[in-house]
Amino acid sequence: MAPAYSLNIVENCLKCEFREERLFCHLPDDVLEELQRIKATSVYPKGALLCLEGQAPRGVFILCTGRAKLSTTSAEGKTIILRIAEPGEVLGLTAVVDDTPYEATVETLEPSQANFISRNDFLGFLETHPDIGMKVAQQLTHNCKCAYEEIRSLGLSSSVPEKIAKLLLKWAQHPLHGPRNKGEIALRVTLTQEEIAQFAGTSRETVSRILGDFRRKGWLRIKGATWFILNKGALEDLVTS
Amino acid sequence: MTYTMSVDQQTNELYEALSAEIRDVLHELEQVITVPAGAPLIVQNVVPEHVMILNQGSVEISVPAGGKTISVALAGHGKVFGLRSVVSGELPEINVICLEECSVTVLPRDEFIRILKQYPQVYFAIAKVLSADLKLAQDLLREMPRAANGAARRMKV
Repeated sequence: MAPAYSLNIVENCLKCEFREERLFCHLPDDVLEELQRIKATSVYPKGALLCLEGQAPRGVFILCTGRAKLSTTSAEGKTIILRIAEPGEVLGLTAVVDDTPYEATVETLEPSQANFISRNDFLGFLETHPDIGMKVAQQLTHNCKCAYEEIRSLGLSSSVPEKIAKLLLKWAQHPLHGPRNKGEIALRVTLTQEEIAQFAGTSRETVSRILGDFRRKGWLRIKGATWFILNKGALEDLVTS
Repeated sequence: MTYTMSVDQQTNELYEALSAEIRDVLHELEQVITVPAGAPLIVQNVVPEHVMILNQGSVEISVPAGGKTISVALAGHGKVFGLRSVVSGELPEINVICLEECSVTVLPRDEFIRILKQYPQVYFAIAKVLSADLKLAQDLLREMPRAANGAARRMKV
């Protein structure tokens, strides 16, 4: 039988090939065995909501595969994407550590696997293994860094084309592998234009117009979910101009 | 809108999550200094030599962005600075400037790291402080994209 959503589901953290690469999973075997006992593995389709902003903290999610967007709502009712979570990240930490409502809504951008750990189990795990607190603190440090970078980026970006160019350049740091034409960078973009607009604080129509402009100038080619940056230098010039 | 942090008046945001035993150990490292108005506690891209606890006075936390400064929050008694650098060894992204003369308790960074190794429970208290910092940053992010004017309100050139 084909696995759900064509995902290679890893039920046993001890056998996960990524465990040594990921901050929260890189643990001694005995500690990982305990984590194995308290976590529940689930797979989710694209668009699944793991937790909702304002919801009481039920627990944390360790994102094993797939990506998820963290979004919030402004006082004006607009959706703002705070960041995109990558595999290995622990989601819902702030709420669980502080016992406050979830700060953001987490929605999967593609079929994903996540391990859920209830709040009580997670806090008990931390109490039994205080050194795990270091991992939690390191993850929060990373989250703070992302938030400050985003603040700086928004503060520096005076125009929407700049913001979108910055997004493209950020994604270009994790290009798709494979043979390409010289100077071409391939990206897998799972965000819709509406979601890109939520990232950049603008409208879908404006995003569509700017992407069209980038294409006309020969800076970008879009083929479904695969985007090709054809002139990285031009995007960089736009950002630094 | 200006965000202001509030912390229990009897303690600080780090110590309130620590046991009496660990607090006593940290008390032995403490030194209290006075920092004049306008002086920095944390400077972007400079590793702080101390963990700092604000006892009295107020400070502004800001993110430099090119030639601009984006104010994240004002903080007063009980706010703790310098922990991110202790945890990650990374350089700070923020500036923290005293808005008035401040009384600050400082704990030498290396000594604090030694205590952390001895009492890893302190990491959980650090996580609570970092959670509060993250919330402040996310509150600002919520405000920033709404309108250009919203962001500009907090920006100084």
